[in-house]
Amino acid sequence: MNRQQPLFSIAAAPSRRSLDPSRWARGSLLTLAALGAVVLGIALGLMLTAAAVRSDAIGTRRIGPWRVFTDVGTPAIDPYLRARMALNGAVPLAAAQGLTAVAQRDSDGHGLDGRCSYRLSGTMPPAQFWTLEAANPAGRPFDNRAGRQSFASDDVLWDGSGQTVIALSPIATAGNWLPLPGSGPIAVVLRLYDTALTTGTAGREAAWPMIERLGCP
Amino acid sequence: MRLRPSRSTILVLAVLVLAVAGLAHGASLLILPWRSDHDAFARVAALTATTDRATLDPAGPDAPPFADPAMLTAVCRFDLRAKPFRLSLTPLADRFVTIGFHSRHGLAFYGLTVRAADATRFDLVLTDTPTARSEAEPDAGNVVVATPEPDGFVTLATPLGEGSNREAAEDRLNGVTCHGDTGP
Repeated sequence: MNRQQPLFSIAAAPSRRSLDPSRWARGSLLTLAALGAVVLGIALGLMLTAAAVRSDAIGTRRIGPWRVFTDVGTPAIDPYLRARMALNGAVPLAAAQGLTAVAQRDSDGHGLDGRCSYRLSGTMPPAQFWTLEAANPAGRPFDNRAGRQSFASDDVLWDGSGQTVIALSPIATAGNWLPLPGSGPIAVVLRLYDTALTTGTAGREAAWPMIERLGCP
Repeated sequence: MRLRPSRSTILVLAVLVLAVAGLAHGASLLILPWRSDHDAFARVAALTATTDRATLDPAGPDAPPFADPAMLTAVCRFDLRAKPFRLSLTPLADRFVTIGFHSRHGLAFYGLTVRAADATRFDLVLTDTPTARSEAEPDAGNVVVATPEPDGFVTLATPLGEGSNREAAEDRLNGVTCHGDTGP
């Protein structure tokens, strides 16, 4: 009998451990905590992606009031910007076609507002052809009674110094006038076609026009 | 029974959360261009469901955002698995046509701007295999461009101008043919 006791003890030991309620509870809790951590991690990662692709700053370089889309037209496109474009469906200009710049703020940093009047002035960056459009922040053109949604370099009136002055306003203005919708936030889109600006320097060496707020109702 | 987690357990769980968050963030970012139903190709496919080429109306409900209303733009789809793609351009009388090549999943892989001064006719051939490239190269007058994916689309755009200038813009775009078609 005495000889069997140790054998019995050895055989019974694992069984006692597996039935230990505190060890079992701790193991289950750890498993649950690990699963919770994985779920939380996935949720955090997806929230981070959703926030990142909503940002207007991704994949762009800021020059004055403009955000210049530097590498959008190359295979080296920023992965955040590529994901953003996969969601909004925009078609970028390829690098050899030109550069796009978008302003959603004036030169003082205030958000562009369709109720206000602005003056865009200065020298345009060098390009074979440029267009300037007032759109909503999602990139859709506005309907307006004047039927003008954009200006192009060949239909703008130039002053004698080679400067460009364009009025952006909901109120009809003499000279180069780009109508605004009279409400809501707006974006001003400048496209430079066949430009000598390279994506690498993204036009930092060039002069870009400024956008001044003249007044709001 | 003591169930309070130790510091090391909390640390391991925190690291696990951060590691999984990083992986999920990176993976979702890379997967998005491959899984989105609202990307540029989907919009172009909606425009050109039955034909290879269509004119894009920047104000239309299916138009991509940030389409330039000052340009007359046409799009051609290509799928090299179905048929080869050859873009032919006749010399321009005026202005310019700018052409962008986009792969199915969102890469602008090639672009060119043809000015009136470039008074030569040329053909551009897309290829997705090195073999096809070597066959196409001896053909004089061809520009051969390798595409990262076998399908995608091409945008053709030219300044719209105002009033009667639209006809001139249409003529310029009609001077570019995709697959040998004759324009929209």
